[in-house]
Amino acid sequence: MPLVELQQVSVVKKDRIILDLKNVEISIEKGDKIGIIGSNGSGKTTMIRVILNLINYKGTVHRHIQTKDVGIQMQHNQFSDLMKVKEIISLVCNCSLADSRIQEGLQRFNLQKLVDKRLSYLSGGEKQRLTIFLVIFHNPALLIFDEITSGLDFDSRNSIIKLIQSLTSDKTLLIVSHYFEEIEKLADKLLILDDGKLLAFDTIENLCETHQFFSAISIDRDVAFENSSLRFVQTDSQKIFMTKNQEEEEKVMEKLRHDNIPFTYKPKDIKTLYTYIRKQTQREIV
Amino acid sequence: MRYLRYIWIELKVILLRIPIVLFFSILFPLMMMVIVVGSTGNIEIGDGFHLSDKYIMIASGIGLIPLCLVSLPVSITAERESGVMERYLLFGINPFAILGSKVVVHMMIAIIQFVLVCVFAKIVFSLTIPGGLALISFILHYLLAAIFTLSLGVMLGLLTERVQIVQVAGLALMFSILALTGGFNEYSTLPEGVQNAMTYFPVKYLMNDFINIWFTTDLILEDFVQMTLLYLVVIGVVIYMLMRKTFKFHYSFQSLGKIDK
Repeated sequence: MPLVELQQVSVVKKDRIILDLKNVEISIEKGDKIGIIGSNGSGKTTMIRVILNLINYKGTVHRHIQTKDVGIQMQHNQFSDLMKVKEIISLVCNCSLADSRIQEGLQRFNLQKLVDKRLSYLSGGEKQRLTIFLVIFHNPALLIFDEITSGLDFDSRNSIIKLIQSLTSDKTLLIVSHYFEEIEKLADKLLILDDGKLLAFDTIENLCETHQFFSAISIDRDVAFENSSLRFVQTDSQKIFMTKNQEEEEKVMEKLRHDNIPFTYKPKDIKTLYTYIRKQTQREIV
Repeated sequence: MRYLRYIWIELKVILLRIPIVLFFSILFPLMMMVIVVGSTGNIEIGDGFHLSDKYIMIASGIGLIPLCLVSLPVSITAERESGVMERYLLFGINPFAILGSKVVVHMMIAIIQFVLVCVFAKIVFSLTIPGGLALISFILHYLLAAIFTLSLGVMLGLLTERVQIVQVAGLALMFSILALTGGFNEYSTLPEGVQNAMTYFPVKYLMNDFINIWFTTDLILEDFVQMTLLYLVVIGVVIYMLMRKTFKFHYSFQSLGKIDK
């Protein structure tokens, strides 16, 4: 039985449909690791808030899981500014600070020096580390992370992603992110939203197969390289060729090497897959 | 245990880290008592009792009402508006226990405040404190009045997410109640219509009729007890409905056996 099922869900705000999954059913199965991606305003956070019943929606959501088995971390996690770190820890973890599990967690999340500080004095990264520690303390079966690394510097982001990787191997995970490399590291399924609509929901493997996507080969956008048989997507600075299979990949790379054109290669690149699916849906694919 | 911790933390936060609550709930009633009893003198009002004996009822009301109708609802709404309450819920903390802890903390402050008023009045104005059954009965009546006022505060805190609205509504209610129950002037001088209407409001009894228990004239104010219990049932139902609406997340997830982690 799925942990969560969404059926015919839609959210309307001020006469505008901000999430439109009316003809769609989404099942979140135990063990799934789902990366939810989409541009700003595509409905990612709204969908999370529907799952958590934090906003009004139409349609049906079945939640076959208890509150205590769900761990949730949002992009902005508000704490009472008047509380101290040690106070929120003892409240959420429901044990003394001297407890060995707390001491171990403080060390693991590098929070030892912060315990006597007021929560209002913590930086964004410190607050996120503290929240992850509190979210995972009771070992929830379903973890939901909504853009938790937004606004963090590169090092903080990397350390948080490493932490999540080590913590979630045996759990069900829903992660919303703008960073494709995070999705690549943490998810095995993709849920792509655009303008409130579902563009795709499947395993990364299946999506690549459906869209005949074997690898991505990127070159500088301004470099002249013609190959009419190849599909490609463009970003601000790059032209990314999408190969269908190993044979095509080898041919392209050989030609690029022959023409002395520098390129980067990435197998099953999620950013390229996302851009392709999105543009294909918008019928703007070249 | 978690909620004892929360009560302790909340008590520290409210009493030691929010100076305005300390002022209004602890110092303001004492100040008012000094001003009123000090300016008119602690005159005898019969049967060996003095003005201070009567004024501690008013002082306790002056402390209790801002605590219950401003401090408590603002503390609930501020946590809702800022997202702190949502974060607690997402951590799996039961909203009923969060609100319950807040009520307990405010009740404790109300008791501290009343004890301080009594101790101060005993030392400065030689307050007469009844003994035995009268004192126990008075404490029980006081607690019932405090629970009623606190439940009004919880209801107010759940009605909206906007702190500004709750602040204005709480202050308006506070001043109206104090004015209509004899907090600012002698209750018997209020228009008859107002007095009749206020017989249906429990706080009126705290400010004006509890003195009969203190003076050992009555042991139980039956009208007050029955009416307050009835109000508590109604308010309890309203609070439960507001909580179901406000904290939907908590009530949304169901148990279908233990999930393997």
